[in-house]
Amino acid sequence: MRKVALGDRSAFGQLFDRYSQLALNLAARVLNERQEAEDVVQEVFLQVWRDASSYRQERGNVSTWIVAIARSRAIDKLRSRKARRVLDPVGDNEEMQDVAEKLPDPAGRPDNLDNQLLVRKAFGSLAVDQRVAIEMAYYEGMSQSEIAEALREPLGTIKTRIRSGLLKLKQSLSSGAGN
Amino acid sequence: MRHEKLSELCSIYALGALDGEELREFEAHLETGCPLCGQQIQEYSQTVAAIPEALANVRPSADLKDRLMARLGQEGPRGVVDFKLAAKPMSSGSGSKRSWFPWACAVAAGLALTVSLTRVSSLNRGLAEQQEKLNQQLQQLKTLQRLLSDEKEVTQFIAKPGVRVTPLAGTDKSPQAAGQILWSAQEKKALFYASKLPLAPEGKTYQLWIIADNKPIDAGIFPVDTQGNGFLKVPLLAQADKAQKFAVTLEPAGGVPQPTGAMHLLGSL
Repeated sequence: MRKVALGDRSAFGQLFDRYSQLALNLAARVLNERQEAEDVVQEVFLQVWRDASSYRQERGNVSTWIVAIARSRAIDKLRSRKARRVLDPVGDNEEMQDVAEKLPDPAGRPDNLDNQLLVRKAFGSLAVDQRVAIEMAYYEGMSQSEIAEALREPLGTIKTRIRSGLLKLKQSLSSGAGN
Repeated sequence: MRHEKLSELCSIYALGALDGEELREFEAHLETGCPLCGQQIQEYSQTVAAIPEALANVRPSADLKDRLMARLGQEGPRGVVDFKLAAKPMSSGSGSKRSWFPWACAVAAGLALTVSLTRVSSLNRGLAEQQEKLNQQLQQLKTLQRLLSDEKEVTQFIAKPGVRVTPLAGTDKSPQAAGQILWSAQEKKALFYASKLPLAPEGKTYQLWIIADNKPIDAGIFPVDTQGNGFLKVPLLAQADKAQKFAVTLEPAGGVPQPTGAMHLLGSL
């Protein structure tokens, strides 16, 4: 990142190779449209290029930073076009299946498949209502109150689902990563 | 709201779903610097950041990277469009009765415009190069300002009474590596530096541990640059008063609650 902050294009290219696939997957999931998702990826990495010098490693790793920017940009775009779609569980979205293709591991992310399997397994261990609440917040940018209203459930129920779901996810990822 | 209730909101806050009065109250609580909630939010943020890892790969367009790299060069010189708009439309000379005259004028004007646009294009390229150099220099300036700010913070921190310095030595995994932790139980803060650590493999990260009462306490994860330098600011928990050792291990990305990987640095009080 320090090289990128100093304007090193080659280092920036390597950063793109390493994290663009993750950013694209996320943006495509939020927007359900590949071209718009690619626009988001370009905006994300332009922001990374411009703001590299303000990146603080103590606040989290590069991946977390880029994912946060990608999520924020994609949700902004989603809100701007006012198109909310019904959530499908991870991997079950038929429309996305059309554009989602299993690729050889992208350059620089040789453990991508391991991570995918680990997180999918962890997500799979959640109850469906926990997973839906978490995905509505994460991919749709909805607040707990908005989720409660959309699902016509009491706010307390939604809070419990999110809390217990994230706790279980955290525990599953910790134990999975330790294996 | 009692602390127990507030701490239950950490995961919802990390997900970005907290809203309304609860959000305001929770953020006011965070501003008090509560280390327990800070720690929980850090942990849950890592969990939340892992969520998109589960997604299937979407095939990108073949030229996605090329388009982005091309845009880097266009960051500043938006004058390109203005220059072209500034080229005035040609007059057709429609008042003339000689039929060849308008055509000759059009061809001549076309040639003149081509030469002019070529020159404008060349100027634009020059401008783009200058702009990119300027952008790079601005980025270097920002980086230097940040480093200066960090240095200032370190200098001010060292000057405080009660700050202790503990060196960390490389283990047999990284014999050339070294580290230093400046810590103050009074300030509840520590600054950690490492140098010559091997670059962490993909999917791995270095994690700092404070060992107190023979138990490791997670002090945070940190990346290292290509020179093996790492830096971390650590808010010290109450148990840090009893710190006996500091250690750095290589762990799965995002860090772990308890050390599992190889130790690379170790220092004792």
